Amino acid sequence: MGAAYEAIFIIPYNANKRLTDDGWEFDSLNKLPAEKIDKLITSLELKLIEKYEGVSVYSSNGIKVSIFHDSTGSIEYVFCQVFDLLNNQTISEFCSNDSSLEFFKPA
Amino acid sequence: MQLGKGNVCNELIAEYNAAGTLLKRYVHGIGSDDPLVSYDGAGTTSPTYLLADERGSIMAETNSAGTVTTKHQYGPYGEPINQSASRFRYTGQILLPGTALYHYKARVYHPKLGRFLQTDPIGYKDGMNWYAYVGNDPMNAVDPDGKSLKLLKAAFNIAKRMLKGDSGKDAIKGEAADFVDNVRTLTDGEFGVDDAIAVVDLATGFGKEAKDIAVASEKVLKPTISMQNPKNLIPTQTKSEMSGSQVKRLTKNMKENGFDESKPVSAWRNPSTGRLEIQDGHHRTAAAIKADLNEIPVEIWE
Repeated sequence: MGAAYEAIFIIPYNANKRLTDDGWEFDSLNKLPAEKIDKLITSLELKLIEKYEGVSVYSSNGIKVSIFHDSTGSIEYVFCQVFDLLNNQTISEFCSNDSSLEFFKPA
Repeated sequence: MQLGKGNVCNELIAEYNAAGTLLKRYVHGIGSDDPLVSYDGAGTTSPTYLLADERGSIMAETNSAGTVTTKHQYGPYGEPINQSASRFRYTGQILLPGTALYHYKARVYHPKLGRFLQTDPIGYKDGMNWYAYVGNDPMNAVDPDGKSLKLLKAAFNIAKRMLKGDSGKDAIKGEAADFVDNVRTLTDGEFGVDDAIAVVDLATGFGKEAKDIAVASEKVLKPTISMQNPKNLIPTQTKSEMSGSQVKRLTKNMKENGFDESKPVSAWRNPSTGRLEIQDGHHRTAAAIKADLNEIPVEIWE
């Protein structure tokens, strides 16, 4: 059985954010650097669990990460469902080291 | 390591590294040496269930999906046959890392020798050989703390006879007096008459409650799966914690391929409302509603 999670989005810096009836959506001309996201996958020891419609879903202890690709394979944004709050700091530090990324935690 | 205090023994409940970071947590059953679940870090989403045999030896470990992730094998005296980093092993005891020795609390046990490495703290009360393990009968006996086989048997014996109504007889009074004396000796005076009486009370009066807990645990550990209308499932996360794009892409996928039945939504039935509250699968439920699916598989936890 799962548990309540905390949502964190990694989006291109200054992307437009919209809260719709389905949840958050983002618009930006910029994409996320794939090599940076690969580093995040490594540092969180994530394992790929499924792929559908351009979404790659990874999980590890206390976190589930969905990576959204556009039709060209570029990364639009990353959605982190954090069950173990210890992961928050890792993601926050990861984003603070790169000015092209924005750490977005909905209030 | 952090040890939880119990009335009868200490149990390992958590491990921290030198920086104070929580690495592992353990949940134990109501008996001694009865580790049930371990968690990595502070979260509860990736449990490892520890499955024991009749002696309490951990034989296998499973993940939350019930898939066996590790199997353990032992020789007749508990010699570990397989290599593993798992903490709890033979008779539910801690296998000291990097050795083939078990931490039996009062003593260290060497399974290849079938002997403890220290003398028996209770002296001759458990036999002439102060190093022997459970009277050289490891197939039928266990020793939870390296000193208490006889004490354990005595407690059960007294409880059993009291349940039969023997409590007023001289023989049982003599056994109870010996039991109290042994408890006092073995615990260096930490536990006395009142504690011994409490143990006997617990053993004689706890039967029904223990059974109720066991039945309830069985229900908790075994969810049922049934088809439910996604509109009847109650979300426990708000839209501001969801990804709109994920819902849209899942909806598209469900319209083309239907709901992936190998990934049921997890829901908990709230006992006060009787309604199913989503625990895992908010996006899939929202997508199923948008895809006009009337039934989806739901794993229901009572």
